[in-house]
Amino acid sequence: SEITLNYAFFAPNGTFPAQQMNYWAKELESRTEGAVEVNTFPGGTLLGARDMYNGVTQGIVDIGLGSPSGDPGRFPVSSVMTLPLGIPNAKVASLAYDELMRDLQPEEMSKFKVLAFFTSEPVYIQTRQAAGNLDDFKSIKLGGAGSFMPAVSSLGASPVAMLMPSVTEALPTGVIDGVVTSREVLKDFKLAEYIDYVVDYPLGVVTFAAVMTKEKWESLPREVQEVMEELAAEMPLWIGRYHDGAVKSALEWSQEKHGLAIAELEEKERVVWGERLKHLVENWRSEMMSKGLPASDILSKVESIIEKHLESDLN
Amino acid sequence: MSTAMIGALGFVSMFLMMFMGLPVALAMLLVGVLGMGLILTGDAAMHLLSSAVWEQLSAYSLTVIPLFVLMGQVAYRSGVTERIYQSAYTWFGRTPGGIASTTVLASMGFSCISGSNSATAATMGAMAIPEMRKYKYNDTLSTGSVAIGGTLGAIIPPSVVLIVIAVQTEQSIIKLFLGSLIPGLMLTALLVATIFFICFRNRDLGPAGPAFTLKEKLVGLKGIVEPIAIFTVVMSGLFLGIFTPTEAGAAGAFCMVLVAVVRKQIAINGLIQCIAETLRISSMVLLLLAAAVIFGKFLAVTRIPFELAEWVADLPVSSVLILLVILAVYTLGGMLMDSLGFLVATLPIFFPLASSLGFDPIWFTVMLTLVTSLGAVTPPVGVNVFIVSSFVPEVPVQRIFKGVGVFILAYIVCLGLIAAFPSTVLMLPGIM
Amino acid sequence: MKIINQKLQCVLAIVGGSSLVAMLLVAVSDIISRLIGYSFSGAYEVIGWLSATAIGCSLGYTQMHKGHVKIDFISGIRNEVVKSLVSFVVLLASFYLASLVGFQLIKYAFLIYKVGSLSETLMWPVYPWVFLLAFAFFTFAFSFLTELFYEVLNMVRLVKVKFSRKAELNIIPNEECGL
Ligand code: NA
Ligand code: NA
Repeated sequence: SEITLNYAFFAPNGTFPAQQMNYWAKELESRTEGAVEVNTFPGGTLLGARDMYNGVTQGIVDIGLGSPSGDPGRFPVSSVMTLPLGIPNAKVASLAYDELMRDLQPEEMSKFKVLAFFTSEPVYIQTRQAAGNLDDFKSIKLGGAGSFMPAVSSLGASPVAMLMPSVTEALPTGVIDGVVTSREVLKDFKLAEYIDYVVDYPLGVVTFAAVMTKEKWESLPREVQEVMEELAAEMPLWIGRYHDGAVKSALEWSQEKHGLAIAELEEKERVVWGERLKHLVENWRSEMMSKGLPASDILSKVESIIEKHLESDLN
Repeated sequence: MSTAMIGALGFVSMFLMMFMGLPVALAMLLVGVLGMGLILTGDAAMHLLSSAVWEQLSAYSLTVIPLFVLMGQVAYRSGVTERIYQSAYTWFGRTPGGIASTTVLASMGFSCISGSNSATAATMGAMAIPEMRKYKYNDTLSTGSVAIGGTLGAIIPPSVVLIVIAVQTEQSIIKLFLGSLIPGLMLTALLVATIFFICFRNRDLGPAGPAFTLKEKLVGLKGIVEPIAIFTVVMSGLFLGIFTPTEAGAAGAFCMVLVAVVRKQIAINGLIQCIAETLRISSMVLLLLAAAVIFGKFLAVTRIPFELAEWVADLPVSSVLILLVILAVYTLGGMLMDSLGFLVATLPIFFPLASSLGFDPIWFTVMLTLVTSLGAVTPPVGVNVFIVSSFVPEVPVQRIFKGVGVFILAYIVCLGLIAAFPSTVLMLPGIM
Repeated sequence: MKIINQKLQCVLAIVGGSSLVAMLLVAVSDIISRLIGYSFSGAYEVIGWLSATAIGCSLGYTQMHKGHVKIDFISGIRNEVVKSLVSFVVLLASFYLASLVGFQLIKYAFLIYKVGSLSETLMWPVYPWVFLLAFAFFTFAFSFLTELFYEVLNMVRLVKVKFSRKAELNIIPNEECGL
């Protein structure tokens, strides 16, 4: 083939963002009729989570799939998606994040040509023991990505920021009593062996963006660019559906094989949760305003976009 | 030039530079950066150099190394090791080759708080060799048993080798520690059996020591209550999930210092010595690891590991044969150079290969650890042998290597047992 | 020069040792505070940064004690001139590499400062620690430079010996600091 592209991702091949990478690579190769070859480097073999976007700008790989919400200092607009905005699934979230970023064209992505924007499903609190009301939370430690730790604190539990590999080590031994993450991990990382309850209250989502530098993009032939544009438009829906399907089967599997219980919140409790979490949005607003970003505009924009995709999702 | 070709050249030039005397870590760093510069761009290689060095040196998972090293150092300087030795002596000094067996058993005891084989050999050498000379032990046996006993330091948990493999291959440190516990004890038993056997056949090699009364034996046990208590606290805290590995190391080192200071077994000067020695060992190990990561990334861009794994997986030979070849390569590597250096340089190639052949990663890691530890006593570069020889400069190094030779069989038997009964490794991690 | 290097490495080793002690204390107090039901979620990050400082600051100290693993093949060389040349090349390469890493770390620190990266849990800027590590690598390079300096002196001496055949071959003594 005429063009070879190196594509790196920080997490192992079995995870859902890696599935997106593999699907994208395969489609690109077949739609360009073999003119492009993609070498994938999953599992951090070339670049880790913290260094993905620097690695792309420095030319270590042509394409990097990283998680903007993991570095809120650098990607402030993307961090809006980690707030509890009432998003029900990965499909709605991915479509909304994609549309938000393409509408706003924020400064944080200005160096990059983005090949795919997408997100996980909302993260949920998943615990060893039943933790239905907030009193139970006072005595438990929850692990998960740093961006969800403020939510954990707001609900009264003790936050322990850690990445997935550490979670799989900390959970069986009891260093943490539960996790805050999307729910496919119950099956993918076999966490259902330890997790018995999922609190049915969606929090924010984890964002992902696959990028290449503008210069690299300019160097590609017209036909290849067209295929990539086509794929970029398809990706949010494709991965959203894929991920939602994986979550559904993970939940069914966990309920069947490990007796997982999904703890519904009473209406009264739900209201209390909403109250507790509301200030996260306010904190985010004031923090972004202090950085000189039009925080209120971004918030109302994302809310209306979510609203729109929610409706079309229901129909 | 194809990328695979660059990779192969990189390997060759790395070994050349090592043999010229460039520190192993710097040789890996240099080849990694140059190779990456050739395949990608100079700028890319430079960025990867800085980010990988920073990420590795600041990685939480690696902070466990200095803390466990510190714990072992404090144990040594506060006389804990000596008490372990004295106690083992009262119980086993009486049998043929009894002091040699004592040395191996005390090495096992010390291994429970020390993570490195060279530290174990150095600690035991200072105590056991004068003792064995006093009782007219054959030099070949006495030096050999110290050198081989030291290798237990890297097999019985905690172990720096296991931590290094766990971090490089994203495995659980706790599971690896549990997995190597039974093999470590098995190996200890086999080593003691070997000593007993050869001394039984030739009484002159290692005459029996004096007998002790039961009272003396029990009094001796009092001296090792503290290290046993600390070991129990640290390990159970780790396995029960009260601490992460780093915290276990911190807790162990802290308790060790606390006991030593309260019982006035260590002075402030001694503590400073411990810290200085810990810094030296840890900076050596961590620089090695950071360099290995850069070299590993270079290998990843050459795609050699992926292609080799595919190629070998398609070979029409059994996976057992391939495993034997891998183990032979590590034995050879351990003979030629520092075995930890060889291990970190080659893991990116062989670990994916072993996984693609379907070997259990914990089991494979324990096999590798055994072979790697053996590298510390095989010629021409055998770290433990050199350490032992520094205590007895008048004994030729070849003689120490020969002394180690009789124990190789115990190692082979141990490897065979683990291969035949994988449950010896997998049973304990399976409980978790 | 040797004295300057020793003083420098000892000062750094003291910084490194203090970082080691600090990291021990942070880890222990984190365990204790967790047992009594309070958690400091940034402990992991702080311990990582302290560890980088401890290790970085002791690289040169370790080199002063010849502590970095290498294969001692040179001492087997009989010919003094060849031996000296090989050590010269090796030391030069080591000096170059250590300063290169230091220099690149400075560039890296500037990069993460410019894009505004913050640590994930504490949301603190990380670049000051990277600058510190860069400085540590420069002192590591300085320890090679010192050795290089004496190797050159040794070469000069060898050349003199060759011509005068009078001077005695003696090895420069290796003094150590108090630690
Ligand atoms: Na050990
Ligand atoms: Na060897």
